[in-house]
Amino acid sequence: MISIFTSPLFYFFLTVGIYFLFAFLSKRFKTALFNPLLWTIIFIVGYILLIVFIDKKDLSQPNIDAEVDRYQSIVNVFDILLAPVTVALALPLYANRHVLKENWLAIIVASLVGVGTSIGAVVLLGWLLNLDGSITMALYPRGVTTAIAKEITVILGVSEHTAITVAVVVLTGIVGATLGPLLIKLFHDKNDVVVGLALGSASHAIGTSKAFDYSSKAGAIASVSIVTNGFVTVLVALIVHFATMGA
Amino acid sequence: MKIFKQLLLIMAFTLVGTFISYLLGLIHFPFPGSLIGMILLFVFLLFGLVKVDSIHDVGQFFIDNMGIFFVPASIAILKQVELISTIWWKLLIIIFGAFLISFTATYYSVKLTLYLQHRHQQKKEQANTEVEHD
Repeated sequence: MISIFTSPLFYFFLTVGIYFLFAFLSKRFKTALFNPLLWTIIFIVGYILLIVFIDKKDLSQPNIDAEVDRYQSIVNVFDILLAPVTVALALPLYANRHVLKENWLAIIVASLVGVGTSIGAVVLLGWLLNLDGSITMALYPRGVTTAIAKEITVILGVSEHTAITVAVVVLTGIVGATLGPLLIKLFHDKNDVVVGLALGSASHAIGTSKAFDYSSKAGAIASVSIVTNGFVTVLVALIVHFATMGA
Repeated sequence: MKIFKQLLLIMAFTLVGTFISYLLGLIHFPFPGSLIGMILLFVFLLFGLVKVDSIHDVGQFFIDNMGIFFVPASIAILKQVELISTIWWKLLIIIFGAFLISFTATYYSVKLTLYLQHRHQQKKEQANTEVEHD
């Protein structure tokens, strides 16, 4: 009986099913708290632990690792398609090219300031909290869209912490989409460009969907800032890469 | 058929990007192939060498459902339970702290930029009307 529930097709069904359910819920209730990736991970983690427990009666790390490996090989097609998905980011950039042209100065300022303060804050807090250096580095792309953030961990040579990076990026997006509107209320100014760039560069795609609630222009400009932010962070990562190589 | 065509086109850009990234790697310049592919696709769209229609359905599906493509990478978190259990609160402080700092800084720097741009524009207009009056 249990073999049906551990079959590759069932795992695949469960993954797509949970993702679809929460994508539907987040659209229906317009909240970032139903983030489909976050909830899919929570449910799959719980499910894998349950299966290992029923199957082996022992939740030791090697047993869990084995089932995680099996699960990853089942849904590996998503991982393979990640690069084409990143390439597709050219689409929103192209669709909003006029917004990019009209507001290029504000967009550049937002990306430089956003990325600069983001990495500065990570370095400062990481140092204050005595966090391991390679983990701190893996958090540099905390505000960058997940696809580009993952590439940045490779450039920085900390790809062993990619899972932590992805988790932090997603949680940052949810925190940003939830707290961002409160801060905007506090700061008063609801100018499309200001709101769009602040949400987009501080909390990437999840913040961008919130920016669309203000106006389509705020959403468009936020979509552009996701990509420009990603590129500025890549440049910083390259500088760090070459600086540490020389040392 | 249409979906296959669009998927093939996007994959082709990805592969070309990956190949260029490989070449750059030979001169020790680690630039991600997917980002090169993205730039190439953007340039091709700008110059009308690729029509939006020939990638739109698949591309938009990718953009709208990006999260699911990260499931395999994210589930690896289950392999680092021991590490996470010791640092999770530090990560939370960084998530909240870095967000508040970068959001506030971006918000006010953009506001300042727009203000300076606006003032610059006004001065230019003022100068123009003064010239007209002379």
